[in-house]
Amino acid sequence: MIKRGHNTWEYLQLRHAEKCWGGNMWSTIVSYVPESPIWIQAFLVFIIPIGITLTMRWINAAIKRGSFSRTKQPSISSKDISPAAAGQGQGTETGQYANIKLTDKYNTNLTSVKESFGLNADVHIREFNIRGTNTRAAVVYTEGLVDQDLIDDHLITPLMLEGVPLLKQEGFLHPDNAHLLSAYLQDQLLPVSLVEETKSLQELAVGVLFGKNALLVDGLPGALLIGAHKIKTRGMNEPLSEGLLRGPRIGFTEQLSDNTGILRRYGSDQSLFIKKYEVGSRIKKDMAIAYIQDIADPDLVAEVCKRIEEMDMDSMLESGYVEQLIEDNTLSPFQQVLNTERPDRVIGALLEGRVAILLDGTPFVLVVPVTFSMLLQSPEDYYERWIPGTFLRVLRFMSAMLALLAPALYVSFISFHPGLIPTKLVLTIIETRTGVPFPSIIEVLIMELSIEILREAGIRLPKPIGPAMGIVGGLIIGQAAVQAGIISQFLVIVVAVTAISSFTIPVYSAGLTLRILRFAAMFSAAILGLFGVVMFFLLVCTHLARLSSFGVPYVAPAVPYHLSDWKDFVIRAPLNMMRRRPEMTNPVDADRKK
Amino acid sequence: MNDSRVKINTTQAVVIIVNYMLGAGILTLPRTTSSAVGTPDVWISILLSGLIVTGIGLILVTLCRRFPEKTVFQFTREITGRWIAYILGCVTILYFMIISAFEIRVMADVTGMYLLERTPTWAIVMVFMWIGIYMISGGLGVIIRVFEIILPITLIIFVMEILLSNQLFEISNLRPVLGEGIMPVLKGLKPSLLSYTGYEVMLVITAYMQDPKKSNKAMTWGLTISTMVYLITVVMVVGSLSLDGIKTRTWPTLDLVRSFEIQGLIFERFESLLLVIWIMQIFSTFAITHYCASVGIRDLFRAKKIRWIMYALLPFIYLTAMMPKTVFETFALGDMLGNVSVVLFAILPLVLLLISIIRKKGGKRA
Amino acid sequence: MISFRMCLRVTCAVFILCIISGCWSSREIEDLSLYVGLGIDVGKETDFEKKISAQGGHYPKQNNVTATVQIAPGNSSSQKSQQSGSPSSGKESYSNEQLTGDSMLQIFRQFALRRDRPLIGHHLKVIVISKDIAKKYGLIQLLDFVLRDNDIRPNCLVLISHQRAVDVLTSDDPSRIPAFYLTGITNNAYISNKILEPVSLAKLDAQMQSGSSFLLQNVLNANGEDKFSGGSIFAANTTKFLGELSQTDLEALSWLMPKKQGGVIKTYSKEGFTVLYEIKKKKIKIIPKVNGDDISFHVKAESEGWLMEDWRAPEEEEKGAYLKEMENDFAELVEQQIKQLLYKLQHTYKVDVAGFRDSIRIKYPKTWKKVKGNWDEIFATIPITYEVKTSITNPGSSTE
Repeated sequence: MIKRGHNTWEYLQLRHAEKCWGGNMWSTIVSYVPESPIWIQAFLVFIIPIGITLTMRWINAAIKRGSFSRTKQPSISSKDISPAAAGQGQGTETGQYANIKLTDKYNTNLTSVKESFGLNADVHIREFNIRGTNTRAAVVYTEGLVDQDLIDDHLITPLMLEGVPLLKQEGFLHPDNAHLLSAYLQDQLLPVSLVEETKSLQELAVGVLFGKNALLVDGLPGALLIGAHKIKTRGMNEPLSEGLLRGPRIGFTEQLSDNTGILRRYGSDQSLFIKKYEVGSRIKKDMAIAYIQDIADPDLVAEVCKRIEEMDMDSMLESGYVEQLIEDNTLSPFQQVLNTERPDRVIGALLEGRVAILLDGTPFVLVVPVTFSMLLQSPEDYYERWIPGTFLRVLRFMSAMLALLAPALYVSFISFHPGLIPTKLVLTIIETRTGVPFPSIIEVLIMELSIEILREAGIRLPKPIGPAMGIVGGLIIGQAAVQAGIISQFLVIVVAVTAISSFTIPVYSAGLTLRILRFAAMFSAAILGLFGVVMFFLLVCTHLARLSSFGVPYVAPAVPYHLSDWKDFVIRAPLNMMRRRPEMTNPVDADRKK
Repeated sequence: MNDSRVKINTTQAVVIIVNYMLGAGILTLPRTTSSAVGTPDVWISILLSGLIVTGIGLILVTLCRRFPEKTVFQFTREITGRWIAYILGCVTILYFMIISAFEIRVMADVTGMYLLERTPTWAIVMVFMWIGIYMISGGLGVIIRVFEIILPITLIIFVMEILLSNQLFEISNLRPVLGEGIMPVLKGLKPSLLSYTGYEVMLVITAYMQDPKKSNKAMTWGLTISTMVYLITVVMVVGSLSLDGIKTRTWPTLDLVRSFEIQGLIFERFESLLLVIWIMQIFSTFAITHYCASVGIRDLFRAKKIRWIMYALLPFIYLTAMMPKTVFETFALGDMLGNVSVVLFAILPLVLLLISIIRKKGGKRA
Repeated sequence: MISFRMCLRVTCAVFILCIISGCWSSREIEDLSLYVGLGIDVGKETDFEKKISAQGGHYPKQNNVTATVQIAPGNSSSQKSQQSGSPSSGKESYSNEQLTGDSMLQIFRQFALRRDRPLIGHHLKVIVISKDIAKKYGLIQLLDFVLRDNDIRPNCLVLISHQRAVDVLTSDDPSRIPAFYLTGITNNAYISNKILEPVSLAKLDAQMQSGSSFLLQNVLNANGEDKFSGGSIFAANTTKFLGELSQTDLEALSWLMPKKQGGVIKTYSKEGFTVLYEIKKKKIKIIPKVNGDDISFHVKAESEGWLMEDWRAPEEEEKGAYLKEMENDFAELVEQQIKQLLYKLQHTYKVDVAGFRDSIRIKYPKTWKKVKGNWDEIFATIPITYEVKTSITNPGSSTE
C-alpha cells in the first residue's frame, strides 16, 4: 500500500485518513443495522406464516381423520364396514337378522319372517296355494311401498289361477330338484321383470322393507325378491331454484330410476355409461355415476370412483353429503363440485367430459370437475344467440365482481381515500353523512347483516307473505334507517346494488360463497383501505389458483392460456365456432362435432 | 404442493418475464432517463436499450439451453469449479433477495405516501409478504396461474390509463428529434438499461420449460412487450409533462395520471386504478424473485424441501427492506442493483458461455 | 401438547385483536373538511387573529402572506329537512377562512387548532394569487408547498387576481361555490380567444423549471362577481410578477400561438357599422429564419370563419366584393393587434411568452443551445414579420 521512500508525514497522513475513513465506514455500517423493533417485526414476519401453515395442516389432517384428538381411535363399529364391500361377502352380515338362512321348509321360513321383520305393522303376508300342485306360497310385502297391481296381476294371478301345468307337477314336488324349481318359477311362471334370489333373512328383510315383494314357496330354498318399489313421486317440474326463461322445463326428481331415465331419454347416446354404487353404512342408498365413455377422461372416472369408495358415513341424506365427502379442499370457501337440478345442464357437462353423480332420494345431481367459470354460466347462454349470450355473461361477471367488492370499495373510499372520489360526489356524501354517528365500516356491517338476516328469513316465509315482506321489508327498513340517521342514503344504494347483483349468480352455492367473501373484503378494506382490497383480491386469486377440483385447476379456462377455451369463458362464441371440447377436462375425444 | 418439474410452456415464460420486468421501475423511469439524457430523445434511448437487452437476453438463454433441466445454480458448477460456482451462486441469491426487498420498500413508500399515510410501514409490508408467501409456497404452477390472471388486467388498464392522458399530450414536447445529436441518447442508455432488469429470471425458468428450444422466442416476446410498455409510458409522460416538468417530480408516471381528471366518468381520478395495478405488479415481481432466491438456495446447497427455505428467507428480506432510511437511499439501492445486474447478467453469462464452449461442457443446443 | 396448542390459539387471537384495532389511516369523510380553493394575498391579519394574538395566542411568524381557504361544504345550521339529504336552502355551500403567517404548511396546521375537522387538499381546484404578493415573492416560492404536497393534485388551476384574492373567492350567491365557478369559466377557452388555456400546476411547474417567462390568467372582481380578463406576465428567473396584458393583447396572442382556436374579430365597416367574424379554423405557422447569428421570425396566419353579425342598415345582399372588403378589414385589424402586442412584449416587458422559443428549439436546436441562456433579451431585438389572411366561408343562416 505504502510505497517505500515516502516521507513519514505523508505516511502518517495516509494512516490518519485510513483510520477516519475506516471509522466512518464502521459507523455507517452500524447505523444501517436496524433497530430492535424491526428485529421483532422480522421475527413476526417469519413466525406467523409458519404458524398459519402448521395450523392449516393440522386442521386438514384432523378433518381427514375425523376427529381432533389423535389418541382416541374411533372404534370400528359394525356399521363401519365399507358399504361397497358389504353385501358382497357372504357371511359378513351384520345387524339384527344376521346370518339366518332361509330353508326350503315353508313353515320355518314363514315363522322366521313373522318373528323378525314381520312384526312391523306395515308388513303384510298373503298366503296362497299354487294351483296345480297346491304348494303353499306366500307373498310378503310392505304396504305403501309396493305396487299392488304388480302383486295382484303378476304374482298371485299366474300362480293361483294358472299354476303349474300337469306335465311339470312332478318336478315341482320333488325337493331334490330344488334349483330346477327356482329356475322353473323364474323362467316359466312369473311374468315379472325384476327377480332376485336370496337365501339370507337379512337380505330378505332389507328387500321387503325397501319395497320389493318376497315370494316364499314350499320346497324352494330361500326366497325370491320380485319387483321394485313404486312410491308416489312428484312430476318432473322445473326446479324452483334454477328457473330459466328459455329451456326445457324438466327437473330431476327424488327417484334414482327416474333420473337415470331422464338422462337416457334426453341425452341418449350409446356410450352414456351408468355405474351403480350403494353408499351409506346404515341406510343404504343407491348412487349412480354417469359419464360418456368416448369423451370422459378415464383417469377422472377412476378418481371419482376411488373417492366414492372411500366415503364413510352412516347415511347420505342428500347429495350434499357426497359432495362434502369427496371434495378436494374442505377448508376452501369455494365449492369444488357443482350441484344442479336441471338435466340440460348435466347433459351439457357430460358432453364436455365431466362426470355426473346421481343419488337416490334427492333431485340434486353432482357434476365434477367444476371450474370457476361454470359457477357463473347458465344454460340460457347457450340457448340464446351469441351476442345476447355474450352480453349476459359479461353482465354476470361484472355483477359478481360488484357483489364481491362494492361494499369494500365504499368503505375504503369513504374512510381512507376521499381524494379518489369525484369532487361533486364528495360534497354530496359529506352532506348526507354529517349526522351519521357510525364510521363507515359499522354502517356497512349493520346494513349487510340486516340484508343477510332478511334473506335467511325470506326463505322460510310462507308463500303468500314472502314477496310482499321482502319488498316492504327492504324498502321500509332502508328508508327508516336513513331517516333515523343510522345510515346514509348513499350506502342504501350501494347495499341495494350489491344485493341485486348477488342474485344474478346462477348457482346458488356460489352466491353463498360470494356473500361470505364480501364480509372478508369489507374487513380488509376497513383495516388497510384500497391496499387492503387489492391484497384481498390477490389472496382470493392465489387461493383459486391453488385450488383444483379432481385434478383440474379451478381457474381454468382463464389460465393456462388456451385460446380455444376462451371461446366459452367470458364471451360465448358463435356455436359453429365452438368446435372443440374444453381442454381443461382432458377429453378423450376433443372434437365437438362428432 | 411440490415443485417437482412443473412444466411451463412458452406463453407462460413470456408472462413471467413481463410480470417481473414491470415493477417498481415504471414509476421512476421517466425521471432517471430524462435527467441523464437532457433532450426529449428519451424514447430513443429506451428503444435502443430494449434492443441491447434483447441481445443480452438471447446470450443468456443460449447458455441456459446448453444445460437442459438445470437451473443456473446447478450448471455453473459444471462450467467453473465448485468454489467459483458457490460464490457466483451466493451473489445471485443475494441479488434476488435484495431485489425483493427493494420492490417491497418502494411499494411501501408509495403506498404510504399516496394511499395510507398514517399506517405504519410494518403493517403494509407484513400483509404483503404473507400473501406473497402464500402464493409461492404453492409452487411454480400456482405462481404461473396467478400471473396469468394478473397480467391481462394490468396491461389493459395501464395502457388505457396512459393513453387517457392524451388530453395533456403535446407532440412539441418530444421534438426536436436528435436535436443535439446521438450523444445524449447514449448517455441515457445507462439508466434505462438499469430498469430492464428482469430477463435474468430465465436463468432459473428455462429449466422448467416444456420446450427449451422455444426459450429464444419467449425471451424476445417478453422483452418486446416490456419495451412497448416502457416506450408508451415514457412517450406519454415526457410528452405531457414536458422534460422540465419531470425534473422535480419524484414519481412522474403517477403525477401524470394525477394531472388530469375526466369529469363524468365514474372514476374521475384514475390514479386509484394505476396504484392498484402497480401494487399487483410489484407483488408479482416480489414473488418471483423470492421464489428464485429460494430455488437458488435449494439448488446450491442441495436441500430437499423448498418450502422451509421460503419461510426462512422472509425475515431476511424484511430486514433488508427496512434498511434504507430515506427515499434517496432507496433510489441509491436501486441504482446499485442495476449496476450489479449489468455485471452479473450481462457480462457473466457471456463469459460463462464462452468458457462452456471452450471447455466443451454442456450439450449442444438441446 | 395441549399447552402448545393453547399458546398458539391465544397468540392468534391476540394478534387478530391487534390488527382489528388498527385501521390507522381511517378517517371518516365527514370528519374532514375539503378545501376547494386557495387564495394567497399580501399578509394582513384578520380581526380574529389580532384579537387572539392580543390574548397571547400567537406564535413566532412574520405576516408575509394571508392564505384563504375555501372550504366546502360550509358551516351549516344542521337542520334535517323531511326529505333528508338534499342541501336545503339557508345553508352555506362554502365558507372562506383566512390566516396569516409566513409558511403555507404552518398556516394550514394552524387551522387544525381552530376547526374540528382537519383540512385535506385532495379536491383543491383553483389557486388564486394576488398580483401584489406575486410582485414580492416568486411563484416558485409561494407554490413550493403546493407542489410538494402529496395530496394536492397537479391538475389544480392557477389564476392571478388583480386585487385581493380573497375577494375573488367570495361570491354574492351562496349556492355558487367560487372555486367551481372559476374552473368552469376556464373551460370556456374554446369559445373565446380572449382567455388563455387553463394552466394547471403541472404545466406551471414545467414552465417554471424550464426557465422561460410565462403567462397566467388574470381575474378581476367587482361587486362579488368575477371576470376573466387579460393575463399576467411572470419573469423567467425570479418567477415574479412583471406586468399585465389586456384582453385585446390576449386576443392578439391567440394569433401567434397555434393551439388556440375559436374567438371572434370585430371591426367597423367603412360606414361605421359593427361587423363580426367568428373564427372557425385557424392555421398559424411560425417560421424561424436563422442566418448565422441573426434570428428572425415570420408569422403566417390564415383563418376561416363565418360572418356572424352585421349591423349594416339597410341590409343589402352580400356580394363577393363586400365580403372581400370585410376580409381585408378583419386582417388589418388583427395585424394591428399583433403589432401592439409585439411592441409590448419586445419593448415594454422584454419577455417572450408567445412561444417563439419553441419554434427555435425544435427547428434549430444548435442555435437554441447558444441563445437559451438569455433568450428574453435576444427576443427583444428580433425582427418579427407577420401576415394575416382571413376568409369568410359562410355568411351564416341569413344571407342578407
